Amino acid sequence: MKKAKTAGAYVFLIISCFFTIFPMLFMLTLSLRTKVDIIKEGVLSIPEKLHFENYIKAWETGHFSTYFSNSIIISVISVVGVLIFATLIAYAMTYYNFRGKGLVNALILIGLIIPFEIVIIPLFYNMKAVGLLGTRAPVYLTHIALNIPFSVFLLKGFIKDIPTALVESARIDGAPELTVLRKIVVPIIKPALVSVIILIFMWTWNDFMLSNIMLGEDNIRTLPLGLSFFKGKFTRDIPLTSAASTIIMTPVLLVYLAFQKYMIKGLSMGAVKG
Amino acid sequence: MLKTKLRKKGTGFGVIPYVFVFPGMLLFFLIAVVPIFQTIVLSFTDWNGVTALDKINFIGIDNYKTIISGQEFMAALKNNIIWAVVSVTIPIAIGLIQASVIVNSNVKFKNLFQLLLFLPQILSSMIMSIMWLAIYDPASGVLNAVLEVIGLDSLVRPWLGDKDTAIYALLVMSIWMAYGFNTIIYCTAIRAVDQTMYEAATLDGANSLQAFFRITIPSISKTTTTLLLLSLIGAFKVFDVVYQMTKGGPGYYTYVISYYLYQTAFTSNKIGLGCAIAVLLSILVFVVSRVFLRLRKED
Repeated sequence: MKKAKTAGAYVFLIISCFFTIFPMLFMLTLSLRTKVDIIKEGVLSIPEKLHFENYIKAWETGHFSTYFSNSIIISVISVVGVLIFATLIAYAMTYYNFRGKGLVNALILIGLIIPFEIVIIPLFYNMKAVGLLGTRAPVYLTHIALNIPFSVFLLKGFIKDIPTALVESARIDGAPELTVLRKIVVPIIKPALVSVIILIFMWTWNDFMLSNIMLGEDNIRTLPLGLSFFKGKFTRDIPLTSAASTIIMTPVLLVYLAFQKYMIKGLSMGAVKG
Repeated sequence: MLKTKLRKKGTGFGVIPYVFVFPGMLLFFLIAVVPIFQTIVLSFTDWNGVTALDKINFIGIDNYKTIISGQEFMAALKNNIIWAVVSVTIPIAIGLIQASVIVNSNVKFKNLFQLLLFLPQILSSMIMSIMWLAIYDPASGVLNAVLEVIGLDSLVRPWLGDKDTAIYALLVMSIWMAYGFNTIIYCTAIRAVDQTMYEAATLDGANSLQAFFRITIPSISKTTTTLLLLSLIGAFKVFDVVYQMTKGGPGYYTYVISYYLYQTAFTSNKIGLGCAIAVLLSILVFVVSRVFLRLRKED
């Protein structure tokens, strides 16, 4: 009885996993074929020859190295910005009383509930007015600003759990506030900071709507956006777009496999606390 | 407790709190707060994004009238509601079942299963769209090919181009995109359930189905409501997939509100009208989450 149940669980999970990764596997097979051979032999046939040259062509025509460095620059700046600003705010909100604290609290709360759609239209024209359109700044500045409330909320939950005596004794020893933050608070809330890094990196790396609106020039486009334009150019060439997607997907998969424990933990922490 | 240990205003810290808070909050204020008011003001104008700001005409609630009486908004709203109904049921149910099988069964490789089920969550929507465009492709898609092989030729169709199937094709994809996240969150939640309850239930002769309904589901209800709320909000904001797969078509059969907003403001340059859509969408998201949280409290 118990054995049958375990067998059933295996069957269920294996089918689930197959359904989950099937689109990826299918795309991988498409990326190694040609348009002609798909039409002639049908997609379910086993190809006689694998066409790795799709990858070379996709890489050469796609400007993906430019898109890749744009994605890295935007995500890294966004993550660093959010980390610094959110940690400082979360620390101040926990350990100080100051005029305007209520206002800051209210703004953070608003930030947690407002949908991004209510700011995006004027934001585009504001960025244009101050001359930032045509650079990467509108995207990372917006990522930083919009992710501050969530990150402050998450970090505050962890900073609150630090025994006050720990901070107080450091202060009595004459440590400056920034040192207290760096040497005592940051090491303790490291798991939360890791989770912020992972979440913000993933969100900014995969962002489509904001980049699509703000990044008009080809030389500043991010990977998802570059892929979208590549697909627009080669709509009917499924093997080529599949090869391009596989190229883009590979580093993300490697990072995921290397850091999956942190990623899964980070995400659950974000969802449960947030 | 904590409050009493906090220092009073002006007791030794001087400007430090402000130095800590100001840079981040200034950025947030300029980027996330100021534009809210701009959106609201602009929603009562006929600005086209080009004319000088002093030549903008205030036209009252005309934009809102245009939206409510037009066919785009109603078509979009209907699709968003269908999207919401599907995404608060199926992906959450799938996630719950997968998680409870992983946690409460004797299978090995639990981490591997979790790893694979979570995989789509790390991909950008653009890559997922390319995968699913290839699956639904009328000429070389795997879906039509499989249907032909198993003799269901009559079902073969251009899934995304057919007005009867386009929205459901997108929904199947959205289910695939969503459940892995729920599975992982539920795994964490179910692991935190007191294991002695399951032992007691087994001693009392309960089978695993009874344990699932009597122990698992009630113990993780807080996680469920969080996931429901996240899915519900996500369903009213859905944009990427529609933009990348169907552009709202055929006709308005996959049109959604945020795509309507995007097209109005950034393709047709009707800024005033676009801002009015943004206001309506925000009100909608806000009301839906309030009602939901109210219902949760009553439970």
